[in-house]
Amino acid sequence: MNDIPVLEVKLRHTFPGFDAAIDLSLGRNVGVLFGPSGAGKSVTLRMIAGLIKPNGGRVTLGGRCLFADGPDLVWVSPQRRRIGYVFQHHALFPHMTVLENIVYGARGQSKHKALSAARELVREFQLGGLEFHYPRNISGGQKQRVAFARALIGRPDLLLLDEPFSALDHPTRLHMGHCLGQVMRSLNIPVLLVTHDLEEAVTIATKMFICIGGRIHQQGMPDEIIKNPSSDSVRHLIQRPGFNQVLTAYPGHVEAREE
Amino acid sequence: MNAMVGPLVLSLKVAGLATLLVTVLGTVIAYFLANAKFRGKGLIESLLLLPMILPPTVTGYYLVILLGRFGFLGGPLFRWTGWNIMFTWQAAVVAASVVALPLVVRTAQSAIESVDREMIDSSTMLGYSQIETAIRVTLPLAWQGILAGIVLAFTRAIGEFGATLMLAGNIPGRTDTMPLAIYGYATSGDWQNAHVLVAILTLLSVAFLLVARQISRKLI
Repeated sequence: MNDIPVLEVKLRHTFPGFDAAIDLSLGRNVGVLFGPSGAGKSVTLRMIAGLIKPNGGRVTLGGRCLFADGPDLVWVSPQRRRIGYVFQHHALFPHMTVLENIVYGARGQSKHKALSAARELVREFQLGGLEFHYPRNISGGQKQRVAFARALIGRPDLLLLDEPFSALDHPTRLHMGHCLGQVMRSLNIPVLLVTHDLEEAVTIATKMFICIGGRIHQQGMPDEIIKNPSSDSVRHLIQRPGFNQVLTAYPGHVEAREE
Repeated sequence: MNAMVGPLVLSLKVAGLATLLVTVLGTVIAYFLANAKFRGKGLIESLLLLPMILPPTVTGYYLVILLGRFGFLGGPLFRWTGWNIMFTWQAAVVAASVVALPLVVRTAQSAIESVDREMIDSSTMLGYSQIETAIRVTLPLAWQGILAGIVLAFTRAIGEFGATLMLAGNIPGRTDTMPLAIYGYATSGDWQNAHVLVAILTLLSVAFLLVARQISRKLI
């Protein structure tokens, strides 16, 4: 049921020395855009968010058209797209406390309502006691959780995550992946995460998109893709030495999705 | 005593007002230049920096051509209102502002440009318009650089001599800011008054330098 497409993306854009033609659809679950560096993953997120205006194509979210080219041109500004975005370097505002950062995301809500929603997120993301700390005084994992809370407080229709864990050390990254993986699946909105870390991709994804050279080469459940890569370049990307260990490390996760 | 208090008060008033003016104007211009892309932007930037490079007397000369009784702006204004800015204390404010403006624009522009793009994009994705983002994120984060520009502008404004002399003259009790008064006393051989004013200006500059250092240390 979760596979009914909510986010549908068809985009074409020409960057200097690079062509992107992205075609993907995602239901109310966690999609992972996986590929090597420079494959166009981040710019895909930026185009969906409206931070880059694509040359052509179409983006719809929950039946609402955000962008369409041609004679019936549609362009919804990024401010009005109701998209939560978490950046690689968390991008917390250094002049605001943890609580102020989260409340900033609740634009248009009454102060009282925003504060109580923020306190609830503080509990949910285990940030209790850090409300009045400034970002420079908390750890990398905590910063990233604040960035999640800030992106979610406005109840977005879509959550975009640009390598959200890549700046963290390995154990923290795995821990965050597990915790936030659960949160993301419980949101009941499409979540699209970009990573070039295969382990992270497989642990988090309910649907995986293999992005190479500005194209989506294959999409599907991670274990399907791993069993049946559609081309040599996909196989080359996902069948790396040591990767079987990754799969066996999370057997429960893979099985749970197969039921 | 009056011979010294007058120039001191006038200087503080002129430099204070000029600083206020260029802070607002310079920050707005800097924000615009940091964010806009248009043809001839380089030319506009160079023109804005010109008063920093030109000899102050030359800047003052242009101001006279522009604002004088027969000037491009001053002429119509005089015919319409009968008032002309030349040889008034307001002229000293204009002269000080023009020479101090590039200092704010330059430092503020580079401070605004160095604000992390992800911060601005985050604010945009959270629904904030460009102007809301500027007020709540960009300018607070660039504040340190802007403040540095303000400090430079004030010191430049309080020491302004050449352009002020051209546009406002050196009228005792009306347009004799400290640097002009020092020149006046020195040329007329009134060393005692000159000494005191020089001492005041030196102390003021050192004090300001210390304050500026303190502020920038706190901000870092």
